Amino acid sequence: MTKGDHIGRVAQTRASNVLYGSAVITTKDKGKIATSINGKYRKVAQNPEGLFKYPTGKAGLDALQYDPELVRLLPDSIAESYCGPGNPFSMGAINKGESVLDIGCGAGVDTILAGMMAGTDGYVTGLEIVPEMLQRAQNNLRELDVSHVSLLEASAEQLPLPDKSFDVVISNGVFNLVVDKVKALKEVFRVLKPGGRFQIADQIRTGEMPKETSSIVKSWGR
Amino acid sequence: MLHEVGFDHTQMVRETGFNSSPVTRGVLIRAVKPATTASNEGDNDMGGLLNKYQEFFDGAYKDGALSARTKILISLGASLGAGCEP
Repeated sequence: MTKGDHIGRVAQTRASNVLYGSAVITTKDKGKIATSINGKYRKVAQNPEGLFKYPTGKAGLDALQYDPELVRLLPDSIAESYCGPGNPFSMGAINKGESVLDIGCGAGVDTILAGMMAGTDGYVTGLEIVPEMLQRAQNNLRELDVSHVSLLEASAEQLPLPDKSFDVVISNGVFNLVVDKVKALKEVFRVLKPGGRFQIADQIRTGEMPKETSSIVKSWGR
Repeated sequence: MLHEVGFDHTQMVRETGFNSSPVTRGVLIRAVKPATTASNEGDNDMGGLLNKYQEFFDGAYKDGALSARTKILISLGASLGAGCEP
C-alpha cells in the first residue's frame, strides 16, 4: 500500500456454480449479475440520490436513527454517499478498541462510523468489490483522520483475511447481492473471533423466487 | 442459513422500513459466533495441535511492543505484497 492509499487489492479466483432451488447459477450467470451490479453501483458511487426506493444520504442516516453525535462529525460530502437499508449499529454499538470488518462497505460511511466508535485502539477494514465505490470510500476516508481504517478490494465470498481476526462483522445491503451466500457466511464465521458478533442490515425477499435461471439473474438485487 | 454455518443466537431483530422493492423487506439480523466451536475445542490430537498453534497465533497478535492493530496491518500488507491468495 502506498502512503495515503487505504486500498489493498486481491486477485479473485475461479467461481463455481451455485444452486437456487432447481436453478443453477453458472459462472457465466455470475458474470452477468456482476456486470449488472457494477453498472448500478458505478452510478451510486457518484450520487445515490434517486437510485433507491428509500431515503439516502443524510435523510437516510437520520431516518435510521444513526447516532446524531457521530453523524454530525461527517462532512456533507460523506453523509450524502450513504445508501444503506438499515442501521447495523442499532443492534449494538462498536466498543472502544474493537476490530471491525465491514463487508461491502460501499462509500464507507458505516466503515467510518465504526472507526469513530472503535477509536484508534481498534481497527476497521472496509471490503468492497465495485472499484468505483471503493474509490468513493477512499475519497471519503481522505477527508477524515482515520488512519486506523483501511479498505480492501475483494469479494464477500473469499475474504483475504486471517481466521478469528475481528470482534464484529457488519454489513449493510450487501448479502442480497451475493450469489453464494453460504460461502460468504462461512467466510464471516471464519474471520470472526470466538464470541464475535455479526450485525447485518439487508433486504430479504418476501415473494417467491422466479423458477427460471434467466429470470433469477435478471431480477438479481431488485 | 446462519445456523447451518455454525452461528448461535441468530435473531431477526426487526424490519427497517427501507424496502428496495414491493417483494423485499429491509431487515436487521444479528448472530454470534459461539465462544467454543468444534474447531477450537481440541477434542482430538489434531484439534489439540491446532489449538496450540492458535494459542501461538493469538499470543503473537496480542498487544505488546507493537499494538495488535499494527501487527494485523503489517501482516496484511506483507501478505498482499507477497501476492498471497486466500
